[in-house]
Amino acid sequence: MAMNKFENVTLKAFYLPGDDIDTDRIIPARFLRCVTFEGLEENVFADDRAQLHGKHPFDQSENKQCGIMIADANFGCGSSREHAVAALQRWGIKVIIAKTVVIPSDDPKKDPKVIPAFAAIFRGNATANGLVCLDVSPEDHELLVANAAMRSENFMAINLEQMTIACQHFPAGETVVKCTMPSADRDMLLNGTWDTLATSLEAGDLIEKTAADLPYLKAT
Amino acid sequence: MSTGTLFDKVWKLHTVRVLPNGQTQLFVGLHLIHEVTSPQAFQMIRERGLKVRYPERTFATVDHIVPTEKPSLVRPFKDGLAEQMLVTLQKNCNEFDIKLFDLGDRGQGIVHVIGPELGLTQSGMVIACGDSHTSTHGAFGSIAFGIGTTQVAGVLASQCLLVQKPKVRRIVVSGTTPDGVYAKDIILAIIQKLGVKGGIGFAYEYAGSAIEALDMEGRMTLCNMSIEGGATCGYVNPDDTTFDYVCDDRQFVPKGGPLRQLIDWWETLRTEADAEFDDVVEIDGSSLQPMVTWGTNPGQSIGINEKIPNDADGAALAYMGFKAGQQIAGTKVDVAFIGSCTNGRLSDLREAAEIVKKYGLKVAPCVKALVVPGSQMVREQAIAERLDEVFIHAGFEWREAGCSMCLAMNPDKLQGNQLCASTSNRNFKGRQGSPTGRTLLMSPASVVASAAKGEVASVSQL
Repeated sequence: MAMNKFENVTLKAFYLPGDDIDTDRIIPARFLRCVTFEGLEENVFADDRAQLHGKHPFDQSENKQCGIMIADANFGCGSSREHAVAALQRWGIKVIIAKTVVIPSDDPKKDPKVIPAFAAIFRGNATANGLVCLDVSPEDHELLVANAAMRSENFMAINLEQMTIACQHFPAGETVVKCTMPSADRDMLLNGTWDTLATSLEAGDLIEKTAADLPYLKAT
Repeated sequence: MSTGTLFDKVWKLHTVRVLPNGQTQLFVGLHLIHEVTSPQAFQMIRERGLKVRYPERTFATVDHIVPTEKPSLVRPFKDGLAEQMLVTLQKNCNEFDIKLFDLGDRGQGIVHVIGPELGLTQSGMVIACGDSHTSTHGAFGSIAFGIGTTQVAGVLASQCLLVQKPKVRRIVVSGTTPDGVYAKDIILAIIQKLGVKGGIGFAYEYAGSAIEALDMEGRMTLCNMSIEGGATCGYVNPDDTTFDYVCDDRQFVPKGGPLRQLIDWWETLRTEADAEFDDVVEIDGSSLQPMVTWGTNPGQSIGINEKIPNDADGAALAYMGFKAGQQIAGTKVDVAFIGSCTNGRLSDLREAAEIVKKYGLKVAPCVKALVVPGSQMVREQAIAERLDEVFIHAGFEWREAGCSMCLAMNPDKLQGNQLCASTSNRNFKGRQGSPTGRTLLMSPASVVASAAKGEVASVSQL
C-alpha cells in the first residue's frame, strides 16, 4: 500500500507541559470501547480537560490551528493503546517534539546517557501512522517552548532530511535546532515505507523458512 | 551491543531478515489477541483482502471488558459497546479461523494469565500481543513484546514484527529477600531505582539469587511490570523451576519424546557465563522491603513504612492528597483490589488467603474489597482449595475472571476520589475509572493487611 513520503512542513506549534504524560490520560480507557478509531479526537485528554475547565491547551482554539505539539519527557508512556496516536492525529497533530533526558556520567571519560523523549511503543505506533516524533535536547526544548509562546509568530519548519527544526521570527530572525529520531523511523517516513505490514509480507517464504527452524513449532 | 544473552539467542533464531534501515523482521511464534486492540487490526487486514498467515499460532480471549459479577455476565451485556466488542471478536475469530477462549470456555481469562497456564507460553519464543503487559511471558525465558494495533494487523497478516533490536541491561538482585517481600515489591523497587523512563531502548534480564528463588508466578509478576520501567520487555532465564511448571500437564505442551527434546533445547537458551551486556545494575535483595506507590506513576514508590521523599513531585502529591515527608502507612483506604495480570494468579490468592486465615482477618467496615481471579482455571482451582470461602467469610467479594478494576473498561471502577489499595500495575491519574480516583500499588499481602486495617498497612503491622 503506497503511503505518503513525509514532505517538509511549516506549522504552528503549541506546548503541552508535563513529563510522563501517559496514554491513559491521552485517551482514557472508557473510550477504548470501540471497534474503529473514528471519533476518538472528541475525547483526547478528556479527563485532564474536564479538570482544567476550558484552560487545557487542547481547549484553546488557537492551538487547534497548530500541527506541532511540543511535549516534555517520556511522552506517551504506559499502555500500548494505539488509540492514543489516533486521537492526537485526528485532532490535528502532525508532529510531536519532546524532550530527551540527559544523565551526566559519573566517569568523566564516558558520554552522558541520553534517554529518548518518547515511550517506545508510542513512538512505534506513531510511525506506523505517519505521525512524526522528534527528540530535542533540554536546552533546545526551552528555545522551542519560548518560540511556541509567541502566539502570532510560532511557526516551525520541520526538515527531516537535515533533522532540523527552524523557528521563524525567534527574537531576531531564525533559530535552527537539531532534532533526532531513530534512523529506522526516519527512513520509513522519508521513503513513505511506514507500511510495515507490506514490508513484512515482502519477505515471502523467508517467513516460512524461519518458522521451519523453530524447535517449538516442530514439536507441535 | 550485547552478546551471548538469552535475548541475543532467541532474537537471532527468530530473525527473518535485517532491513537496510537496521530493523529486524522478527517471526512471532505466539500471537495472543483480545477484544480491545484487535477489532481495528482485523478490519485493516480485511480491507486489504488478506488472511491470517498462521491461524494455528494465534489465540484469542476476552478479558478487559468482562463484567466480573455473575448476573452481569448475561448477554447481551448492559454496556452496548462492550457487547459489540465481544461480538466483533467472535466474528473475527470465526472468519479467520482463530481459537477463541470465550466466556463459558474453561480456558478464558486475562490473556497474560491463560497463556502460561495453558502451556502456550514456553521458553525460547517470540511472543506478541496488543497489550503492554505482554512482557509477563518473558518470565519463561522468551522475548515478549507489547505492540500497537497496526502491528497486530502486521502480525496477523505476516506473523512478523519489524523492530529495532534493543540493548540488554542485566538487573542482578542478589541475596535473599526478607520475609514479607514478594516479587511485586522487587519490581516496584527496581522501577523506583531506575525510573519509569530508565528502560527505554532496553530489554531487561532479571538475574541473581533473589530472582532465581521466585516461583514462576512470581517471575511473571516481576516481568509483567517491565514496561512500567520503560523497558521493551523483560525476562528471566529458564531453569528447573520453569521446566517443572511447563511440564505440569498443560494443554498445549507436547508429551514424551518431543517434550524431552524441547527441554534439551531450552537448556541451551540460557545466557552464557561470558555474555556481555550493555549495562548491569546490582541490587541487594536483602535490603528490600514491602513497597507502596505514593504518586501517579509506578516509579513514585517507597517502602510501606518509609516517608514520602521531601523532593516528591508536587503535582503528583496534590492529586493524591499527600504531603512530602509524610508517612503513608495509616492512610485510610476505601477500596481493596486483588487481581489483574500482575497478581491475579493462584499463588497470589493462596498467599492472600493464608494471611487472612493466619491472622483471623476481616475486611474493615468502610472498605469495599474484591478478589478477582485472573482466569477460569485459577478460579476453579481456588474454589477446589476453598480459598473463596476464606475470602467471602472475611468480607471480600469473590468475583468471576477478568481485568476488572485494573483499568476501567468494565463495570469495576472507583468512585470519586476513592483511594484503592491495589495489586494492579498502574497508578496513573484516572486509571481505575474515576477521573479523581487514586491508586496505591502494592503486593497482595499488603492489600490484605490494608483491607483488614482499613488503612495502608503491611503484614508486619498485623
